[in-house]
Amino acid sequence: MNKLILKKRSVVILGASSAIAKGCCKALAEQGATLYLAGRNLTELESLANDLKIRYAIETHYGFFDAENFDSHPDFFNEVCKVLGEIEGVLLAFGYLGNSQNIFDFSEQKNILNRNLIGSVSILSLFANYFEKAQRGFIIGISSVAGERGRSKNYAYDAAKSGLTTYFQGLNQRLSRKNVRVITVKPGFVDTPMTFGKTGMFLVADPEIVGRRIIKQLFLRKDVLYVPWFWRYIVLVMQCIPEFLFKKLSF
Amino acid sequence: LTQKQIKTKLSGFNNYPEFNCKLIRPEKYHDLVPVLPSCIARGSGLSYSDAAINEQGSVISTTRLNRFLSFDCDQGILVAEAGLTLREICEVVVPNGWFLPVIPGSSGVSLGGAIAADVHGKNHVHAGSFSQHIAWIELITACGDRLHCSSSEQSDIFWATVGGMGLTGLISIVSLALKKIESPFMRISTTVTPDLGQTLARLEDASCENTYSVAWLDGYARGVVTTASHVAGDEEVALQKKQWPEAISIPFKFPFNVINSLSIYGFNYAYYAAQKSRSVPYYLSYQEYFFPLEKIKNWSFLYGKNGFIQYQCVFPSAHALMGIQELLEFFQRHGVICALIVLKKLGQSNQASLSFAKEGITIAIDIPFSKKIFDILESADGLILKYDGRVYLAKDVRLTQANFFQMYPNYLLWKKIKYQVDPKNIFQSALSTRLLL
Repeated sequence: MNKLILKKRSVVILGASSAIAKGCCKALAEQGATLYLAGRNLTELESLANDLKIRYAIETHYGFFDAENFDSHPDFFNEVCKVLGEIEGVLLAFGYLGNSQNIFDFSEQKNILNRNLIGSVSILSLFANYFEKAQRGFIIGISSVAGERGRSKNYAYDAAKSGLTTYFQGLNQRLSRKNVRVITVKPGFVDTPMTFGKTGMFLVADPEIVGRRIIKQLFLRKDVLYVPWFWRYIVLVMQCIPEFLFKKLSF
Repeated sequence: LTQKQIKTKLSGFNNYPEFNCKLIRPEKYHDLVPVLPSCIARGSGLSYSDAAINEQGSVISTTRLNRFLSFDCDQGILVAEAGLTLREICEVVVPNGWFLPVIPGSSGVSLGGAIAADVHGKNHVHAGSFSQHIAWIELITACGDRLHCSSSEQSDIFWATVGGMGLTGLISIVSLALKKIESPFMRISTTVTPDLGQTLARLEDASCENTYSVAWLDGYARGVVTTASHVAGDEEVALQKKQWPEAISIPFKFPFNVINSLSIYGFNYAYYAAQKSRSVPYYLSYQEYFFPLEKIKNWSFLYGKNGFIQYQCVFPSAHALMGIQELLEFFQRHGVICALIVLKKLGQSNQASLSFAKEGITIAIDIPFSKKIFDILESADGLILKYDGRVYLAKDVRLTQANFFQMYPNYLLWKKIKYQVDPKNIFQSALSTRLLL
């Protein structure tokens, strides 16, 4: 495989105002990549786009993208292609933890599944086909360690992330034959709005460092990346606990 | 609207006082709103004061609202969110031939903090304080309005916010006029002076002739006056051969204070001797000149777990010699260890009622912390009042209300505007509670 060069190559960031995405954007901008920031909050995206442009002297674009509105995805994808011309990669960074008030109601669980899983599948199918045809490119998907084992607190989210991880596994097997990189990222606790102010957090990582580690992996070889790295072993322990014991645990 | 908050211990840079605070950290511009019942904005938390902590209400951190919004490279006009630090600004604008018009001693300071404390640099005589280079700010007031303020638009609110220690609202966006430079290097000269009178005389002259000037005292009134200017584009820069390590770090808080009269004496002796043997001008990068302490990470750990406080005040030029002499003698009499003494010449004050800078000489003294120090400093406040001086709010944790009123006679003007923009007194900090602002 040729060494990846990101200078002036276009990368699309889905869910660009998330904290981990911001960290990734900085790392990509340092490489000189052209960035397309997509999300729902256009004021935020404009600030982020300007900030990256000024700090790193790169080209930036931004546009509206709603993961839940599946029907809008083809139009969004065409718009991105029109603006960027050629696309080198996509980073899927949106996610939704749910509202803890009604986390066990179907209405909220549907939102969680739609945004985290179906929305990702919907938009990634377009990018996957594009990269398969181009025989190049990369897809970085932010899943979660939460997908490794369902827990009582928020199992709809765990299930959605578990589904996403499995989806990436299949996608990787399909696209790796076509010279397309698929990297699944499983972050542990990262200092983001999702975790800020929650109790029971430990070893919380800086999203900027996490972002850098993720983008660095583009130049390395891993398919599945745990950030911070020790989460791999926490997950391993979690998976080894038999169900009859696990159900009695409180975490 | 409820935002997630964490309970955490917060303090200023010198770790005193430390309070349990509710901390909120907005990630998005629209999440930056006043919080009831009371709140205060906190930038980088680097002031040596209790200005960015609030025990009753909330503390709103602006660290994640630090985006560059626009940068006009031809005119040197920058627009950015208030959480952006001066270091980040330098990294971006210096390669484009621009520089901050005013630089305080720490590069980690946020734009919002620099305005709230109306910080000054070593060029106050020529450039005034930080806020005098602000094109406009956006201020989020108690009722949630986003006000566009400048010295010509809503000017009374603008000048109340300048030096207002965050008590008029949340500064969200700042537009700053930069200064043109031709080189990132500084040309530096030093002169050693045998006594306080000569140090002050040299500082007065030097501050007129050079862009930047500062004096250092060794506690026995011997001094070193350092001046610096930006290097011109065609000037050849001869950098020193000896390269210092990138950065050294003090790995932990010392269990005891290693800064005592003996180590200070040794350091001062060595520093004075080193500067005395130095005559030709020499060159440094702007980082090395402006932020020498940042070469040593966590240098404050040297003071041990009790930390230190800084006492900074200004004496009008007419009384500077008498005042400083009397102050140093007073400290010596009470056995106060003056670890680091720095003098700067200040020029004319601006319209801001609570801004520190006024014409005269400012003296900043680092003092290892001890409980008895507060009584001594309160007596020192009396001495400063006698000479018509004032204490810097951004460097103070213990000034009394009565002394504050005398030092800042325009306080009532400020209070009027504060009442006008924040009638319910939503913006509160430990500092405002202490001084009943």
